[in-house]
Amino acid sequence: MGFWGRFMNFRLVLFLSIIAVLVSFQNCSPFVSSLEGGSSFFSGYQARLANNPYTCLPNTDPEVQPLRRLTKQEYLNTLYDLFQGEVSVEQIRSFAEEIPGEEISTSFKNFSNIPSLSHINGYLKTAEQMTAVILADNLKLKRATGVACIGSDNSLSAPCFETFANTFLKRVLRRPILSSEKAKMLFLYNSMETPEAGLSAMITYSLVSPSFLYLLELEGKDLDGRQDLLLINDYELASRLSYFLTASMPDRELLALAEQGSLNNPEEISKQSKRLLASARAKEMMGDFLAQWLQIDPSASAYTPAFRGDIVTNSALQQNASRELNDFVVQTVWTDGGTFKDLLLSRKAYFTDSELGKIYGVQGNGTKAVLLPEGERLGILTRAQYLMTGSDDSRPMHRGAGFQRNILCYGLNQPPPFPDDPTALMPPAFDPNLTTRERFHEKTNKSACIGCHVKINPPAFAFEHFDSLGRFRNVERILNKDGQLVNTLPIEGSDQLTIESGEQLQFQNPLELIQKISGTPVPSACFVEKWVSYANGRLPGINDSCTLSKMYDSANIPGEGVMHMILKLTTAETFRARKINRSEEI
Amino acid sequence: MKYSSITRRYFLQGLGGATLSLPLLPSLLPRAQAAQLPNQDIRFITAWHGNGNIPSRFFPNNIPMQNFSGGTKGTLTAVNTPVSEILSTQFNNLKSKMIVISGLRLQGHGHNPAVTLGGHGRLDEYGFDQFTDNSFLPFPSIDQIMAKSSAVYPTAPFVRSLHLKAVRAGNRFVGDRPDSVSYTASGNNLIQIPHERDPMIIFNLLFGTALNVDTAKTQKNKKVMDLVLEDYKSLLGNRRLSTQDKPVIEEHINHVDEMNERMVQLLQGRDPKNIPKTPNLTMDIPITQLSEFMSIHIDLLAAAIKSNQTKIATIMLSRVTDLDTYSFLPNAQNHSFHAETHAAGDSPYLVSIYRYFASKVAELATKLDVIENSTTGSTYLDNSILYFGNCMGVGISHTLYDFPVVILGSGGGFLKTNQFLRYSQTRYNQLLVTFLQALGLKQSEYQFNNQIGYGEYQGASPSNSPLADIVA
Repeated sequence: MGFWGRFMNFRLVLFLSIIAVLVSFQNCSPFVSSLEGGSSFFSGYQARLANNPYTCLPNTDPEVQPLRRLTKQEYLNTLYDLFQGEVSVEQIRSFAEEIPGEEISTSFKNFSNIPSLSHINGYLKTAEQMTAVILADNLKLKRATGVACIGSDNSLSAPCFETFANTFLKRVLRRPILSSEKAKMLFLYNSMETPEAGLSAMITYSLVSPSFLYLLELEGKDLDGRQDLLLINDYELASRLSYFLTASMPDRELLALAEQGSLNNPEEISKQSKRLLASARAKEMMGDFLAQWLQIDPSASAYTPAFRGDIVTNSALQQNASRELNDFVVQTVWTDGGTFKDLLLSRKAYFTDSELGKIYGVQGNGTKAVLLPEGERLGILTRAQYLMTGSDDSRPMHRGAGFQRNILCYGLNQPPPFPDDPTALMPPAFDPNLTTRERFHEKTNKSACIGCHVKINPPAFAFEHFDSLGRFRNVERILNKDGQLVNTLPIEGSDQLTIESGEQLQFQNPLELIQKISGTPVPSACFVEKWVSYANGRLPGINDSCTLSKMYDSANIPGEGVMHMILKLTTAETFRARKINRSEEI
Repeated sequence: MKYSSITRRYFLQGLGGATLSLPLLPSLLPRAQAAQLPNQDIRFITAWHGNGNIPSRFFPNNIPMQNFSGGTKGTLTAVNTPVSEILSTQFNNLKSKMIVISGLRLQGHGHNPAVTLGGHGRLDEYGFDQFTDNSFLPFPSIDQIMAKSSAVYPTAPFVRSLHLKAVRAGNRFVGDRPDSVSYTASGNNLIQIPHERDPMIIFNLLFGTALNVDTAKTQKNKKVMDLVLEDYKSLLGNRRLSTQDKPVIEEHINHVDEMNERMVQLLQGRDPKNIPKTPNLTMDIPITQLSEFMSIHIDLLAAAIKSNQTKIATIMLSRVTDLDTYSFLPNAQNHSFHAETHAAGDSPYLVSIYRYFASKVAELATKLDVIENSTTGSTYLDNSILYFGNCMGVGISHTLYDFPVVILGSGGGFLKTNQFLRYSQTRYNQLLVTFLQALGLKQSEYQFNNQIGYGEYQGASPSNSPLADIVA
């Protein structure tokens, strides 16, 4: 069993840990006791839903939170907001062109934090160019920095330097500037030949500083006198909230609350989370989450004409399919207050593109919901964007493995080597008289394969009811390598699947599979764990169990839903604390 | 000037006694003597492609072989035909500077880019441990260990390590699979070093500022970056930084250091020699321009080596799971490289693709095979190790044994070239140890947690030894 498999076993580990915690409880040093206000920081949680798989352990430390560098998107958004729209998105993008994006990571993009030389070079160049643009226009400079006292020659008087440091630089650093930092800034300003060069150097310096590029959480309060446990301060919390929900720097309201010291309590965090979730950026965040969670990266490549029929398979189709999926989730979560089950089961769709309409067999009506055909579609797993494979092939093994890994969080190993059989991992040979299912079944129904394929094949074969463009089908049109139709065979989508809980689900088609898994806790648990990963830039661990438990309930209880689930994450005690790993072993 | 090493070598040998007064080529000296030569700049370059290979067509099969303790071996120049079907005519003039190795293996399976320079066979293509014994400890890839070694860089370099990816946009496998051959380690995780695709970005990184140095701006930036360096160093000492966060900041500091060194060099004035033409291709190109695009990358890499901008580089000639369709090649089919690997395993289309990648490596080697040291007569290639590697042996079965290994250059005489070795059951990480030692690294620099050796066979003899048969 691979990494995910071991991780998913943490619910078992959790049970054992409860025993261990109970045994060692008297020696436990809960960090709640040192908090002001006297309320219990980790108060525990009694699960409301009977099938909630998580058990809340009170008085456990939070998981170790890794240091995060801004992702490229966060960096771009931050620059735009910092300069208050005075430098256009397009300009910022072109300045930052040399900064690599997070093309690669083992999970979510914010897991990637190691910088390369291209990053450092790109940060410096972008900072220089951003600075040059605003310095070229004194009014723009004043508007971008919010400092009106800057001289017409871009100079700073002594009082204006204070204003500049306490307003603009505070926004850059997302916290008040320290006196030692002010001294450095002043040194830099004075060491340049002209005031303008001095101002340019200060702004550039601030934009490549660690406090700007990294989400540093080093200034909080030790809890219980422990040096490895912090209650993060209000400014750091403002950044955590803001970067999770809007992928950008804290806005004025958050910074003002941090300055007043009134952000770090569950009521205010909840209020601010709701406010941020209402923003357009939060909806973009949802699209970003979906793409990363479902590992959506199709490319609209050339399909054989006989296969695609009259559908125009270009990049516009891919973009429209992506927009449809995102709009569906936003409408379901934001407007309808939907649960995770709604995401899995709803047939509502919002789109206009006629090519997408051909795939769905129903034309869209813009922002007004249309229902996708009954008996063909249910929720996100039957959306075109999720089903498109980027080829003529329905790629059943990839669909099946993706279903296990992303929807059920089941760990799958790579196949073992077959040194004596070089054809072992080849796709099955073309046979005009066999369906894709039949060919793959024959190929994988061997003792060396079946251990994993008993998990992969059932969802893979159920989803054979969708072709590689995402069209529903009851028959498979068999095309030869020249793209000529040589046979038509019926699709057989029925199978059975044993899930992690040991339950055996029997189904006739993908819709029944979706309905039956939605009645189990597994996909909901997987969903909330993915959100914890996405929010924190790390995998969830056993100490996230309280948060996961609360999120699980909210995600599934009508009247609460996914929106409340996100709020449970931001208002969790662990969201306000940071554990430091001081182990010397790397 | 194009330098024919064979001609020159024959000429020197032919002079007999007259050559005694001439300095000997380092590559002709035994290892002990070579080691006593003044420290030549030795580089380590990795050229890489994914999706495995076809060993039966990659390795030589017509040269006389003789037994040795690890298997069989032969001399590449013993026959006049190309090295193999895939290592084709482009390598004919390079045979005497080549080593081809078959039979190295690891545990594990799959598209695994952490194998080539890290020996991490146990990680799957998602970066997850394939085994359940929980004994896995991640190591950085050897290029990153080299890049941080004072043996390689006694003083801060212009670019500590250069990472290029000569592939087109898109064509990636669905999802966020790893797409890098270079790694650093943080805690229990491997973290991929990004590779740059855009030739203009690479050009600007290496040479852009050298063309038109704005002294005032560079001086300003130097002051800024000096302060930035102080900030990052101060952050590194913060007791509230977790242990696994420190490598992140250390990496940042290394690059800020590099930036500062670049600026010092710029202010001192740069030798414009070896600065190539500004690339005229952007990164979004049609497949018909891929070869030209790749050649631009190769030119930039060769220029970076020749102008001593860096000593450590990787160039990816394909993605880890490459989905591009190489329609411009002979026998091309209308589907992707990856699909063909799975569908056919051995076909004229696949041979064309593998031969194409090999020809690009030969192109790079040839560009480096020009005289660097007029006193010794050695070329840039002689003083380099150009490793042409992969992450799999047989593409179709995704196996991590029988890796296709080609080495060009002798690392300043450290390696014994003009050989084909067919090992039986020899550990791959011994090759990595060989490279580390060729670059002058001490064992203490690359062993971790006090276990002897490098890679996943750490601690087990003879994993701490280089491959003796390729060492001069």
